[in-house]
Amino acid sequence: MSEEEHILIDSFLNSELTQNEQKLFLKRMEQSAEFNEHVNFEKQLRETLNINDWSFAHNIEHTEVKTYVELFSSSKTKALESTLEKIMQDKEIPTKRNFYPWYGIAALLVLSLSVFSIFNTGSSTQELYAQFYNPSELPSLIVRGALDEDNYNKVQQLFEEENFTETILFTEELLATTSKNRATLMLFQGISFTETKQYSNAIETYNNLIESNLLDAEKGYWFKALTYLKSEDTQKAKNTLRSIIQNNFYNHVKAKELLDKL
Amino acid sequence: MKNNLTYLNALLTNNSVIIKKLYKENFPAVRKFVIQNKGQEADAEDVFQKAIVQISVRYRKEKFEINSSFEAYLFTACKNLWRRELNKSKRRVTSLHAFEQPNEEQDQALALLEQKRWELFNESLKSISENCQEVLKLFFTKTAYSIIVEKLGYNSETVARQRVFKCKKKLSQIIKNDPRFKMLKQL
Repeated sequence: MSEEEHILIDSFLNSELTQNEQKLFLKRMEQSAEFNEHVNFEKQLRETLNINDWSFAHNIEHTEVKTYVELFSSSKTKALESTLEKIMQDKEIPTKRNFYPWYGIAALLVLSLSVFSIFNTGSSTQELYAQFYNPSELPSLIVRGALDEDNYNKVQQLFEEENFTETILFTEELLATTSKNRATLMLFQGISFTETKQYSNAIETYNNLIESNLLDAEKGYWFKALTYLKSEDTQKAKNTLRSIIQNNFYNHVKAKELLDKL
Repeated sequence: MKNNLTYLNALLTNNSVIIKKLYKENFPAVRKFVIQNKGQEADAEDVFQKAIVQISVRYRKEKFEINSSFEAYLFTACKNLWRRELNKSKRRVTSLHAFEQPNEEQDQALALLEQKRWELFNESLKSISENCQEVLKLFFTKTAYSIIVEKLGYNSETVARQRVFKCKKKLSQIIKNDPRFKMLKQL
């Protein structure tokens, strides 16, 4: 495909063609199977690789679709669906989030920081950091029955006591040896770096989290934005917030609210 | 990965003990994701069930290999099914041709093949240079060329357009040379 053709298909998919140009374009699609294939492929690429979009298949006559339909209709699949329905009806998973005992302390800290800022001439980025950093949204590290249960509990305790220097040391040790709760450990470590003004270390920790395939990897963007905010690098904070919003990442609604205030 | 096989076989044998464990350990994250992205509890349950069934059917047919942990794979499958659901309203409006409305099993089969296509495209994207990945991610998320220029420090929009063209060409070649593409392109 030539670059001209690429621009033409782009314009079509962006709905930038005039009525007449579009008519000609559709006619060409009808007449040339090759061109039709190019357009469809471009459309699939865009839809698949845009995190907010999805590329749908339609060809129910395709042999592969028919083979899968048979499997989805089979008694084995129906039995599995029935097992899942029974499990879901049990509802053993609590539907409300747990609030940790230190939530009150954290709220008080946020409040006192805000009050301090009002009566002080402190920069607005610090106020915003205090307003948007909410430790109650962090998952708990408390694990029961694990061999290294004590180490996790210790990190949780140190973090809640705001002993950030010790938290950094303990999380470093655990991250080097364990595969459990890695995302939460990285978040605790990143926040501890931020709180002790070791901003470049915090950013490195969040980058590691973002690049991992852990379920909470997306959270790295949010806490990275907060670190830029606290270090008063407003431009980078804004760029990171924009990525969160564009990609619908964790806390994208809050990110929009924060970006509007910057 | 040993655990992955345990989970996959549990789905094939309908082992309710292991399936229950999978649900208890993985559903909270899926629920959180769906609720944070315009969904409800019931939507999360629907997505979770469809993802499990999708994985079991696929494994029954082709014994595919999961390269990450089973949990991470399941979460991605759930995320994609929810993305699909959120975009369903545009399916008929923006498609280039008229299509017959699929029944439930046909829709599940189409979703499975769409997931396979998503895997091929994403694996291919990861195999090109980091700079190309970056520029294409911006392009695919409909970022204006003026912003691409600003973000990636190109000299002009023309240079950015040429870069997008070259990177997309490279990506397309990789996808089209993959043996999986032949079957997936006719969907």
